[in-house]
Amino acid sequence: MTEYLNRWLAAGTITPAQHQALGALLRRERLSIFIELNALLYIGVLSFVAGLAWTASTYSEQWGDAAILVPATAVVCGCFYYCFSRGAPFSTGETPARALVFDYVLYLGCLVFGFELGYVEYRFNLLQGQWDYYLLASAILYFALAYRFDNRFVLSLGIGTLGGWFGVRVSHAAFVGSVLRVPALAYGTIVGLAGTALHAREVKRHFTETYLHVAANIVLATLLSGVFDAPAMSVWFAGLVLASAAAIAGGVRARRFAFVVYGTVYGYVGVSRELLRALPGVTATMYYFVVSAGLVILGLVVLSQRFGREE
Amino acid sequence: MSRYTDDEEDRMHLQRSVKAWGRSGLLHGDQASQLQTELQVDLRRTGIMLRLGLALFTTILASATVLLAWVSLGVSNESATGVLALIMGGLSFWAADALVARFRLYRYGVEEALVIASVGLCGVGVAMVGNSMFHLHDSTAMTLALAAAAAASGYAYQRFGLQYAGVAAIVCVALIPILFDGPSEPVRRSLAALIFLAAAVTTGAMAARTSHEVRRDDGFMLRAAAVVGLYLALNLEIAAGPFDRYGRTLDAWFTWTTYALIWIIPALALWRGVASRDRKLILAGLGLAIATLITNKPYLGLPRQTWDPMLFGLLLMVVAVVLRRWLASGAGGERGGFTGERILHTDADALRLVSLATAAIHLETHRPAPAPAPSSPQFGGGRSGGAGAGGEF
Repeated sequence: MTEYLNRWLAAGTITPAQHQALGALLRRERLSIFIELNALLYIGVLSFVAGLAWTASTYSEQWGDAAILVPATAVVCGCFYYCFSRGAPFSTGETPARALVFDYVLYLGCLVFGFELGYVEYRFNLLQGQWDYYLLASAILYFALAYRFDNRFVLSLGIGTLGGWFGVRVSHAAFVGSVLRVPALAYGTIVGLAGTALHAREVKRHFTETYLHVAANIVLATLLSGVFDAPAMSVWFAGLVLASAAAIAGGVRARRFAFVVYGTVYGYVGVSRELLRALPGVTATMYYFVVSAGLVILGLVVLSQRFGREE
Repeated sequence: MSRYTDDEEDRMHLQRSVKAWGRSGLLHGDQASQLQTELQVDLRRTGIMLRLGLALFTTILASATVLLAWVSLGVSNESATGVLALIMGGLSFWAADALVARFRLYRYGVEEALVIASVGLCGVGVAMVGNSMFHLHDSTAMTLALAAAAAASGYAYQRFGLQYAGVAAIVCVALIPILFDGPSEPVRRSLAALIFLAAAVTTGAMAARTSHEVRRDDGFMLRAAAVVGLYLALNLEIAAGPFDRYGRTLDAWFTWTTYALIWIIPALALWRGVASRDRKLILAGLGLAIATLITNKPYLGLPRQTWDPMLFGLLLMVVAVVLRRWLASGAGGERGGFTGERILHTDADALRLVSLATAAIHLETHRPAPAPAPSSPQFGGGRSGGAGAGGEF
């Protein structure tokens, strides 16, 4: 393949400096182990927090609360001090981390902070019935830190913790199962709207996709569960069809084909569920799958030929 | 004979590279567009998400077609079902081949799903036909199925260049000795390991010999997969499942030999990966080294301590930091061409995917909390976004 590079250099399409840089990459003379280092740090952080939690659950009685909380607090303070003292100034745009470990130090601090909150509530029961406000407060803190330091992992933590708060609030109700759907829809909608609003205000636009992936999956999965639980065609089905269509249309317009696939798959499962109620026997069901899957493939092929290469 | 020429595959590979170089600022936008135009071939491809979607629905279509044929033809006995599976497997492969020939598909999802279906159907078909004709023992029927699947996968790799088909062929062949009834566990493990070792050596030689980057990349991928297989065949703590039914009475010499090998293999993989500048082998070596650290205590019969994961995590973090600093302290922030800096934007994409997966993990841990127990903490049942504030510490 270096022949192509030589040809491009001779034709003046690329400069000698580019020829040298790209040739080194093609010949593997220059190799980045950026991903490998990140993998070590990510697994390291998760493993550390898991070990901390396991140790606390096993030895808190024997060692006492101070033996757990003092070192954990020291870790949190150390992590946050490091981040605030070395972090780049806030910017609404993308801010590269100043060091490889920076993002993971913040993530570690947030995870240990979450662990401490849980530990304190279990041991001292400070907020009693209102303990779920810990979740809301920690979610707000995680969002603030994610935006302050441009950290995707902490953003994911914040989104997940907010989801936990929605779920826990509802769990106070008597019937948890289907009652969770409306809050889940509210959660998905809020996450989606928040991501869109921040995108429109040009605040950390590279975070938008994280919001939208979570929102799309939560909303579509919730509507689909409603379709499966309903004894006949219901408002959940109408909602699913509309949401799937919106995901497909939005995905095509933004050239984000993950959303096209989300809309297609969730929509297909929901529509199949409704149609299969009426279909008699195995043969008719198989015919349905042959025809419907063929049609979906045709649609995706058309889409792929028109837009898919830009993905 | 492959459906794609080496030049076509080289151009496709370069197209991806040019796109990555353009996104990483190594080429200007107009340069990247110009080079992309020059590299055009008549192959049809699509993005990863549509490819996955197409593969999913093709799998549904293929499965429904097979079941429809089975139901419509009123096939009931084993031999007829086996023959039908073989016919459908052959048709599936033919359809994939015809689609590639007619529409020039390249990693399009549709032909890939058809190939995977044909491999599965051929394996099942051969096993059922063999069983009905010769009343085989279960393990013999499975051996036939694996052999057929290996042959079909190997041919699919030759025909379409699908790396995972090549990996599947190696794995299927290596699993055959594990199914043998007669030999002891050490013999069966050793045979499987020898097959993986032979595959690693052969594919490594293939990568070293070829002048085409795509073939070299194939060789690297197959070698890394074979090394992982070799390790799994020898690590008694990870791959114990298939051997449990025989009862485990292992001689000490075998246990200690495998113990030595699970340390040696990751070290060799890392060393060869660095020497041959093969990032896949480096990654495999890294993963295997982590697996060795995790299984070390059970291997030695030592009890796990609750703080082991903390020490393990600290070790990984220290290794990453020291390695990064060591590389950065070299001339130009590199040592021997290796750098800890991000060069291509594709690496940032990979991290973005990890962060998305992280969101899914944190969402997964939501459950209502149990009632607190003031005197004795019961850490069961998560309740937060996975930050450790959950009950299952």
